[in-house]
Amino acid sequence: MKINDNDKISPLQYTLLIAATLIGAGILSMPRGVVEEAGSDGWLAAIGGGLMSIFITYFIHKLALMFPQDTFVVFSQKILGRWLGLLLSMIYVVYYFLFSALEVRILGDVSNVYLLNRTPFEFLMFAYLWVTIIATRNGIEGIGRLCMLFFPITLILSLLIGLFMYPKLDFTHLLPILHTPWQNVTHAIFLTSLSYLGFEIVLFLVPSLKKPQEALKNAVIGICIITGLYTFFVIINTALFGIDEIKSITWPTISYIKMIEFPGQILERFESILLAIWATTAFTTSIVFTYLAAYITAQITGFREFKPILYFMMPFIYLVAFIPAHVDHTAAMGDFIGKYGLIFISATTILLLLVAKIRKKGMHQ
Amino acid sequence: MDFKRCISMILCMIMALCLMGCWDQKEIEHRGMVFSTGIDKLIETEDEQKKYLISFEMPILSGGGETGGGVLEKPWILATTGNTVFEAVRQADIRSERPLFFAQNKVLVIGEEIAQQEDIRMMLDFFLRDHELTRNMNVFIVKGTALEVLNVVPYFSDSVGDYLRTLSRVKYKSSRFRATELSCLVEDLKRNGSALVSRVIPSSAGDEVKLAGAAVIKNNRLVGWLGEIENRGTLFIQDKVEGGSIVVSCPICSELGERAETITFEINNVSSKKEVDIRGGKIKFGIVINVEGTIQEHSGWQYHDLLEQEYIRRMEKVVATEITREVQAANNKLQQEFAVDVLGYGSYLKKTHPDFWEEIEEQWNETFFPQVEVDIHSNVMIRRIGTAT
Repeated sequence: MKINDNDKISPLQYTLLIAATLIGAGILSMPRGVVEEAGSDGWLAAIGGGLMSIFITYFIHKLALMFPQDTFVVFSQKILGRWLGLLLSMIYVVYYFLFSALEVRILGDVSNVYLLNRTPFEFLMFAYLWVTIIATRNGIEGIGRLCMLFFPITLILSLLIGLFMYPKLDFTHLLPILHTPWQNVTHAIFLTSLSYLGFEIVLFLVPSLKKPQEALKNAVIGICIITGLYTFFVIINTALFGIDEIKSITWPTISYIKMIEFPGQILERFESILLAIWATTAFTTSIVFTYLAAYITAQITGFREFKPILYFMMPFIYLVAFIPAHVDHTAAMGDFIGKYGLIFISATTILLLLVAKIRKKGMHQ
Repeated sequence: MDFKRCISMILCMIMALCLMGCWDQKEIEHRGMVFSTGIDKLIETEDEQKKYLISFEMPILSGGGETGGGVLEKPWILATTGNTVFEAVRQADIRSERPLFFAQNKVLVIGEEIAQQEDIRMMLDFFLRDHELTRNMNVFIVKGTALEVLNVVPYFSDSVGDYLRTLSRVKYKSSRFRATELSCLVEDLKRNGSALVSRVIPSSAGDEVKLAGAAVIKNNRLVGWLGEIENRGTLFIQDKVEGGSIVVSCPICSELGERAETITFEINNVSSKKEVDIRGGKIKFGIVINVEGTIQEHSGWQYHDLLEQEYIRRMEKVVATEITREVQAANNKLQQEFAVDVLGYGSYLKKTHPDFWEEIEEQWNETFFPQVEVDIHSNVMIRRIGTAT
């Protein structure tokens, strides 16, 4: 029996793939970031970030669906010519490469602090990266199935942890509403972009979709789920800690989870379980990005298989993950990728759309 | 078996070896579980300038087996000194063959003297920063020394930590004490350096403790105490009352009016609401407290039947007056005597009138807060009268 179904993913898998790619390491620190910038209106920034992502996603899908048979690597060359197209694809490789290194690094940082403090950091990262590579080996279909497996667990547990702490939440911390200057809210929206990046994967996945015509709808549903989840997390974290206190907590969501207590002390230190679940969400993100980095490289270089490239890339991802010297640098690296990633993605999308229109390439609806 | 298979098998075995994460394996009987921590001022005996005397309560856990595990002996109270909390923890680590483990540390007790002299936020920093600790830890300030409290051997519980934590959960039985969680405490301290912390009083015989009243923190230092009734008044304002009894001396209970009878009213349900009026540059708070409860004792039973509608209504008024008086007294003490905004008036203003708050924020503590007018009104509803009329 052949398990491999020609490397295609179903619409549901695509929705969950988008959702699982978006939700990653950012969920732990994002509540602090937005509240620092936007105060009690932090949750509005989370919604704003989601809306912005949907807006950009619309154009990305429009562009990608003009060439249902090709990935970005091919159609950017068709639109802009060989060299410029290749250059853009290569920037995408660097972006995914850095992003997956960052995810692995944050995964390592958090587990080093909370789960395995005496395990050598180098080994921890090696093990994580190895798992990522193993999961990536079987291509996009395997990844899609993985997301179907993991994401519902993440979603249900996230809602449950909100419920567990309900009696302790003080929603007056969210007041005053709409009082923060709009510049701060806008800035906070851009800060969330790192947490929302990943919606552009369709550029490389169109040929792998079973039903490309439904892609936009599916992607928007995926982003909406994540927007809801992020907003929910910002709200419960603010309601528990208060605006003044949340600013001084490195990973508010973990501190939140650590405060969960079951009556009768049946389950103490519940956070170990939840952190393990969180690790899977960070994994799905890094898996998708590692896959794309290798896949795009394969397409650029004309390799038929991406696996050799994957193994070749692994030591480099490992090394790049060690570049940040401490937590501060990791955050700065995250902000850097988030900011320039977003600018690059929006700019290239608009550029390609315009040039394609002018040069009359691709299919126009 | 061919060569390729052999190699892949060896590789698999190496990988399996790599994938087990047992670096951090630590058996439970090799950990020194800390159940409660106490911070005291170090009485200077040596030349060294050390600030704190820190004691850790570590129950001596048996390793299971025929006794079935559990606590057998009196906990070990390990007291060390340090200039910071973490220094003391590391000092304790070289005295205990089981390294200290803080995940179960749910109680922090701070001595009176150190709380008066040192910055409390500074002492709490370790408890916020260390990854083993959680923010739902209970914080107490002792009238006396923390060591006195940790040395108590409770009759029912296995450890003082467990004892104190269980006590602070009986909020539905009494509102004469308060329970303070670390996370709420630092939130208050961050806002303006002031907070109310639960107070614990050890008995002179050293065999029990009592939770009673509150400690008033101003500028991160202990400045005074609130009594039990005053504490209840503050809880009413904060809408944190869950139960407790109020004894009212009731002139109307007696037919002749010659002597006052007493009624004991038990609180079942409380909801209090704040509102603020800032018209005309004058800040005026209105607090409405709605209380529902039961009559638990009634000494005027020979004069009145509790089934009389009219009588119950009058009784409700008497209880309401008493509650208003209590709340007013507590509020005045905090506002006039301590001049410290621990009941959240400032943060309420910030939430409801953000623009106005920005104007006055700087001068709030000194100028505005002591002048704020607080108007308290309470409504009482007697729901039940028990099984006697």
